[in-house]
Amino acid sequence: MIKEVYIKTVDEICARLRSGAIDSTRSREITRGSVRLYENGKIGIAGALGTFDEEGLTQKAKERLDMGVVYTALPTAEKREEREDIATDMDAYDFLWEVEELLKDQNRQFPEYSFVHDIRYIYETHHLKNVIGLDLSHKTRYFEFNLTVKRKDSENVKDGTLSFKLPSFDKNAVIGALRTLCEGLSCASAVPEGKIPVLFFFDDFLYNRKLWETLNGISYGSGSSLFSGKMGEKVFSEELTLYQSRSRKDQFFDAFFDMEGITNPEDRCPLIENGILRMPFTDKMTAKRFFLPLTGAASAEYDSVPSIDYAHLAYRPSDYSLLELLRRSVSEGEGKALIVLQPTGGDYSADGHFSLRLQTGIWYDGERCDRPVQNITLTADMRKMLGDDWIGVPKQPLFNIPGLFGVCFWMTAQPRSPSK
Amino acid sequence: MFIFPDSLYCDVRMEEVFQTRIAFSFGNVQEMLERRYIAAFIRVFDGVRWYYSATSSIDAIQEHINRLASIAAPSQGVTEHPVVRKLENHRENLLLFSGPESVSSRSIKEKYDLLSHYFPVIENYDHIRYWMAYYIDELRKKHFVSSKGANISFDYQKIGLHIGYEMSLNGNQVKDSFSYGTHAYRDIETQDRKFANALNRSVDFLKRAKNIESGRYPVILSPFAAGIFAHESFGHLSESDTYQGDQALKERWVIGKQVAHKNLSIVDDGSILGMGYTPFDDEGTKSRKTYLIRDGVMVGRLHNAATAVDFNENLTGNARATSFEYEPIVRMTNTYIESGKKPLCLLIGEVDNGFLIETIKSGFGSTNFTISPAIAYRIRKGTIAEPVKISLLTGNAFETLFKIDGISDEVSLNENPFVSCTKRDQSMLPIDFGGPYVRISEIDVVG
Repeated sequence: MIKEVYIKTVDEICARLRSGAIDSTRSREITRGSVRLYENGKIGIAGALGTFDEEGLTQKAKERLDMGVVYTALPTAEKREEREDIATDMDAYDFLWEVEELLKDQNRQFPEYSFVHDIRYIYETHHLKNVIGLDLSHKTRYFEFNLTVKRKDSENVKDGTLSFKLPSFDKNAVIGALRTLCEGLSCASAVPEGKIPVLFFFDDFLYNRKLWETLNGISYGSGSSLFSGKMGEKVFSEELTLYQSRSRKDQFFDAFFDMEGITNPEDRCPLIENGILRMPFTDKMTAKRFFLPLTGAASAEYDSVPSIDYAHLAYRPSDYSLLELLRRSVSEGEGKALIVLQPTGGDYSADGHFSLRLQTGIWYDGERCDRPVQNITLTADMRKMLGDDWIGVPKQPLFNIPGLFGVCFWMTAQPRSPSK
Repeated sequence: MFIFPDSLYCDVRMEEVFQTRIAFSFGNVQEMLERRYIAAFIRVFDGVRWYYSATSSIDAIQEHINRLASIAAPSQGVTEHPVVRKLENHRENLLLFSGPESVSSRSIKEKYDLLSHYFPVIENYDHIRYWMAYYIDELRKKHFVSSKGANISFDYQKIGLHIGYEMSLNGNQVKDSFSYGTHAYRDIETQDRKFANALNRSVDFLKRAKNIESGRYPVILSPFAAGIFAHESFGHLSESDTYQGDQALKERWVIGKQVAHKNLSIVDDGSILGMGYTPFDDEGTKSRKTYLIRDGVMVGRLHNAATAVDFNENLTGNARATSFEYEPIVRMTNTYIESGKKPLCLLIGEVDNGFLIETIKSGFGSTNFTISPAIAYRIRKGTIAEPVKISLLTGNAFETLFKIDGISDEVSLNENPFVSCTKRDQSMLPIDFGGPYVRISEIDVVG
């Protein structure tokens, strides 16, 4: 029998800003832990919220081994690493002072806008260890900014949102991003039609959904992925390299190991490399079941069985600016791409056709925003987006926020459909 | 029970939770999870700012109260603050499920047997690439006390089965699922026929579904789809914290304004036993039936105490938190469109060239809304014809509400415990929605 212990603690303070003031503050102090037992291809897990009684949980986990939960993979052995990613020693009072300062600057500089922000200061510890030599621990501290912007005279509920994480409280970076956005939103709006370059935040949920599906090891292995059977083949644009990432460089601030204790060199595993599909992302059981490489994409709640989940995907930035990428892609044009700022839903058909409703987009030249775009539908075919219609990943992150890269494709803009 | 600090408002919400989750796929049991915990959320208000704290240690609640009090600014007049005055003060015990009806009194083996009953049904179908089956249940018992004297205990229970599957044939694919939910174990009925119907419908879609030309068409939404439409198109707009402090939107969305076709009424009601049942909200307010739209006129919106004061309106019982880790914010409960007068056959019969949306993959809403259909059919000359592939229905919420030109005469709630709502950082909030069949005269349909 192999025993494994997982403990995660979260110590967080969140400030909510509304109507030019701090509306509320919230602190969370949560400990979650579990004991996992592996024996004869079965797993038994017992977890607890709050007090962690290892002996009691071990007894419960033993009882749960009899429940027949199949786990035939081997637990990770002989791997030890301790990491601390802590770039600030700010306490809660310092944090709230910084937030107040940000608020003052914002209210002074952008009086025509209203904002609703959630800003979190998070300290997390993750520890996964077992009796066969696994001992991984990570202490991480970071700030998460969820910024919502609206022109005071706008009839929209919100005109744009920006979400990102930073290792330290960089007020200037936040104000700079808000300035770029607000200056663009203050211009007259434009309505594009036809094929246009569109920039998504690299972690956009709607756009990424099909990528997650198609690169998921279960979909790939069971044959339902659009790219099943194409491992090792060049099926994407030559310039496309995509990682499964647990790196801070890619806006990932969680533990550097997955819930099965798998790590990757430089915290990245290439899934697509220069247009070649290297591998789908997998956890241990998926890799074993379908004879696929193991990428370390196991996720789990503190007390559940580790299994494959959405991997954090990140693109390798190109060596070119947005302007240069657009010039390489087409000889004419404005040298600007439309950022998907406030989507209100979208989806893929089974065969990979993507439709997105965009409430607010904004033209962007790589440095400045210029003219918002309201209420259009964008469509594209996923295979083309990653192939012929691929423009690239500009070398500069969006809004100059480290790691917040954009990914640019040609898409078709449809302001309004004709009546049938 | 607790020593509340002077000159501050304070409340404590304790949550005692029992959950089961069973997962089965690839011929094996993947998960047999039973979870129990007690944890708490504490709020302190000094008349200016709210201070919150979440803890997984209930022994530390008093310590958290004291800590929040030490950073707040006590005010003698806080009890007369309009928000504090607005908060209700019930003393009630409403435990419906914590006795013999509790899911915690059933063995996990019994629950697994219930789920595994369906395995042979799906294994008999061709074209299945893979399938996964889930059983979930949850008993959540809440105890709320406040410095105003509120002392409430209530509970909520849900039980659900979900079988998701992916079929493929000749390069065509369909992803669909079958779900069933209820509140008490004794109410669980065998759903073999409904499950087989769902599978047959998916096979038919797989074999016959046609692409469509994008455009603006008349569309009939099933009760499930209509419920999502109500939730996304107007429900979120009715959550008053969305535009609290926003003068432009406040002036636009005034009570008494005609916001929809005169035949449309939308209701939110946390007191009925749907998946969004919450007899008291997480500020201790008793839930009630709230009309958002009545006969096309905006007549109400959803509130917590702070927004009710800000808008000078009544409480509605919609301050809800996803779990003990979060503060209550304004959320929907059971939201539905009220029935109309037309039988479904007449609604369909009046459509020359349009679509019937049967099931949905997802929905999103704000000023615009989008719905991603899973199973949909062409309506041709008043008759349901072949299944069709539609990737998106989309429109401006306010324009579309005026385009509802037909409502059927029967209402049903979705009752799916696997459906939840996300707002801000709070995901997985249990909600319910439903309605009758609803016809929209014209909406953007993207193929």
